[in-house]
Amino acid sequence: MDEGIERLLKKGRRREAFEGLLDAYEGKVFRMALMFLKDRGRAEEVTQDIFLKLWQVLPAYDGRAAPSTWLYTIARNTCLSALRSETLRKALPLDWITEPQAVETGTSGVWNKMQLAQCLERLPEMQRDVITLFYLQEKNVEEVARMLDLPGGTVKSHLHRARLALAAMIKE
Amino acid sequence: MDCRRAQEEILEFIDERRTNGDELDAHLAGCEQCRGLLETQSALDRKLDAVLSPPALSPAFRTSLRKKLRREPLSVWPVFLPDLAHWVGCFVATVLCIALLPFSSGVVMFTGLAVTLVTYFFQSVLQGSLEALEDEK
Repeated sequence: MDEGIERLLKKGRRREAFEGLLDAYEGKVFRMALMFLKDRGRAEEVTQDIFLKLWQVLPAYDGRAAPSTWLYTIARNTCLSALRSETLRKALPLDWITEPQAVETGTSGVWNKMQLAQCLERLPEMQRDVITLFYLQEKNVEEVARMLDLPGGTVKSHLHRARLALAAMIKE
Repeated sequence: MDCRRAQEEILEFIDERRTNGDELDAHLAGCEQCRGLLETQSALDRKLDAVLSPPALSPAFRTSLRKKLRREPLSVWPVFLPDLAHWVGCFVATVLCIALLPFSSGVVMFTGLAVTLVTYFFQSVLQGSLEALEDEK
């Protein structure tokens, strides 16, 4: 995918390259924004801002990094900037997650989304970000690593710690 | 295989949906604690899967984005403009200082300082203009 977009950019076919990036990455970028901002409407607005910025800077693409890596950098910076200006991170709960539904635990009892959201909130920030993004991005460790600009091994390590911590909380 | 290694394998298995290796299967057959971990982690994975299902963008997303894109002209201000102003200022200051070398050191230092301040002013103005343009978008 990225090679095709890169070729289009080298040929100066900016609009087609932009459409390709939009088709391939709008959902991923939206879910990344959602992980950072925790608010569906705001995440959608920020996703639009990210693609607008991408459109603006596309002529300056120099081919040093893959277009998607470039896009993720813009996305990360825009999300962090939105977070800083709105201080949403600490204020909002994980209220965008799917509707309440009883989910069985492996041990006993029934867990609903609020309980799981509370457990996620108790995780250290990086572990929470990684495990949330992992499930939002269809369980792709490499994609999460690129989005957060972390090595794949580090992502896995945070993911495993988060899994063990969540299991321990459930058992409490 | 010891329990520590088995635990790592189990977490890898949950991440990547790889089938358990024979070595892990053999360990699980004889280790209740690791079997328990696999069961707990599989249940947690299913739960997270159910609760953190990827949401979709609203149908109006693209329409709204395209409207905004139509209003977006290409940036006519190159982003490297402040840097360019800085380097041009440095060049002018260097040339002036060399040209003024025969004069007293006070004159040279004053000229260097004056050009640096003027350059800094222009660089700040350009940077501010670019940021204002960015904010307007």
